[in-house]
Amino acid sequence: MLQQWLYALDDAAIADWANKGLLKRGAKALAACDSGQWTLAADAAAANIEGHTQRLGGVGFAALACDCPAFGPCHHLCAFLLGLRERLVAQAAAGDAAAEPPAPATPWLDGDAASIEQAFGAAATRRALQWLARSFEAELEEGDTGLVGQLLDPEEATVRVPRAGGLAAATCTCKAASCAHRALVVLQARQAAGSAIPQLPALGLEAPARARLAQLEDWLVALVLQGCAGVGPAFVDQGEALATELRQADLPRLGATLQGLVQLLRDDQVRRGGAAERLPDALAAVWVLARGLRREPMPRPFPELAGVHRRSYRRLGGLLLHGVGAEVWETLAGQRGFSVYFHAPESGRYFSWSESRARDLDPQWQPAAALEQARLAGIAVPALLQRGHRLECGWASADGRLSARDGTRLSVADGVAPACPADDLATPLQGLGERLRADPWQRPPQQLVRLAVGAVGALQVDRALQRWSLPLGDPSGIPFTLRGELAGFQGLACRQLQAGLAAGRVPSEVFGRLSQQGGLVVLAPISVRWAGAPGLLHLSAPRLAASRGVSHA
Amino acid sequence: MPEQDNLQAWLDAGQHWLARVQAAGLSCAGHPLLAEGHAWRAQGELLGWAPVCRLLDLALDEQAALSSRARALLDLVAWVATARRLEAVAGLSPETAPPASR
Ligand SMILES: [Zn+2]
Ligand SMILES: [Zn+2]
Repeated sequence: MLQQWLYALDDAAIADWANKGLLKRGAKALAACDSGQWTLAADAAAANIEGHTQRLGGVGFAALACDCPAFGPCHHLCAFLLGLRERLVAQAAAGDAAAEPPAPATPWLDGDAASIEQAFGAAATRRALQWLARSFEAELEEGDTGLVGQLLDPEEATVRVPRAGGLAAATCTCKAASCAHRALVVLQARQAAGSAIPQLPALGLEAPARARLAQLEDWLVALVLQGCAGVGPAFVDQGEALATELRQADLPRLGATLQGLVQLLRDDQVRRGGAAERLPDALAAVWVLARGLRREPMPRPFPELAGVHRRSYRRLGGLLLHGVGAEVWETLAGQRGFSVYFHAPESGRYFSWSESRARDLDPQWQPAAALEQARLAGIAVPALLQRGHRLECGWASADGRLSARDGTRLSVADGVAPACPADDLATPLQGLGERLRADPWQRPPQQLVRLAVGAVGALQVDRALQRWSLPLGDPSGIPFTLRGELAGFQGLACRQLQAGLAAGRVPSEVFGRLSQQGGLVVLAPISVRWAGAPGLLHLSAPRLAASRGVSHA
Repeated sequence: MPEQDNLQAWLDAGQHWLARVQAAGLSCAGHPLLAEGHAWRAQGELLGWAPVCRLLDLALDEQAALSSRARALLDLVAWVATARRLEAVAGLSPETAPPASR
């Protein structure tokens, strides 16, 4: 078994366990040393490289040891593995029976349901079962050397389970000795093959989430009893900490909703106008979610209430994409980023590609500058926005997010872009109404639309509510309102619009996110096309204004 | 539709009252504010919203435990806000949406 594992070991697996640099140094060290003195038995091996002793006591990287001072993988062990494999391959070529050719085994399907826990530990297996129950899935690929699983959510990792060596020889790019990623990949493979797996946990709250919910209820009761005027900054800080803890307890939707309430309380404490009037709505949003999560059975599906959404990416090919907008943004929780939006004229769908960083972790990173330098499959953003491209190979989630992972390929689309009319506002409005009637507290998925503009009203700035709005009408007379905050990137958008309107320009088309707010049809704008102007204006990233844009006339 | 307008006005009044109770705090709300709550409740009774009135009764019951009064008020906040959202959706069809000039 040990020799089969070594024989079939591929460089990618060694690099996942160590890293590419160590693997390279190992190959050099191997070339410079004499492997004639090494020992290789049926269940153990030993060597001496650069004055240090290496041992292998069984199948798998965990059974490796080197007496050099490096902690964990070192280049000696890489050289050791490469040398042992080299010897076995040479023996096999010489017809030596000692090295049996590896049989096409599927060790991930061997054994009973308990074998996963034996290989990866109870904690990792439990976590993987939780993920599986919540529909987090890796993308599996079975190849000659073994099973490869790519996981993107909730954590990014690549798992390899070699055909020779069994679960003990499985590696993961997270580099932990054992992990839930490996357990998840094996669980998924077994599930797909109909092999036994441990019972999936019920979809519900775990103890930490339950504890946070109880704390949240106490906090809300105290807030209601003492009133916003009666609580101090320390109390509000407590709410903010709780919002973070809720996110960490896998309840991101409730965390974000509470963060919104906390922000209103802060605004109210500095007497920013309008905050008090918006408080009941924010309070209701938190209470409805918290109550829904504590009720059994839950009134809505758990992933929806918790905000944990399945985001598995599927491979796409041959998709024509037209750039329709670019955006720079910052969330209340301190995440900053940019997004580039595409329209797929063949299906009428929209796709987005985003990058973001946490402000606290990466204060130097500026999303506007990053946007200008970013490349998708080697193509710079202005070029992406300037003409049509075909996605030769790529990955997208069900809700239209493009992953920029390796292997994504784009080519410039030949010929003239086909005429592409704007969306008909009546259609998304109907869908929006239906979804809200089904669940008024659902956070509606962001709905991207490109609307032709008919009537244009006057831009209004509301200092009390800290927001601006511009009433417009579509060509058939349905009214809608562009709206944004005065602060931050949305404030920048307001100044761009103001400047254009003051110069006598008229918007002919707007692209953005559609929602309803208090009975108004509101569009949070991302880009604008001025009548008679050649390009698009990206409202939060005006420096990209040079882009000509694909003609949608 | 006058009934629709009555409901809308009653919901708006409720939201406004709840905002002021939240600013002051349920345990510190003065008599004028509580009296306004009772008046709003009477209007709700006329409109036929008995379950909402019971929530308000509990929230204003000075004999009840403070935490259950607070919970009842939170339920009431959620009820009013949800009803307002649904009302807003009802007005959100291309035919009934207000003109842009408004
Ligand atoms: Zn070493
Ligand atoms: Zn891992």
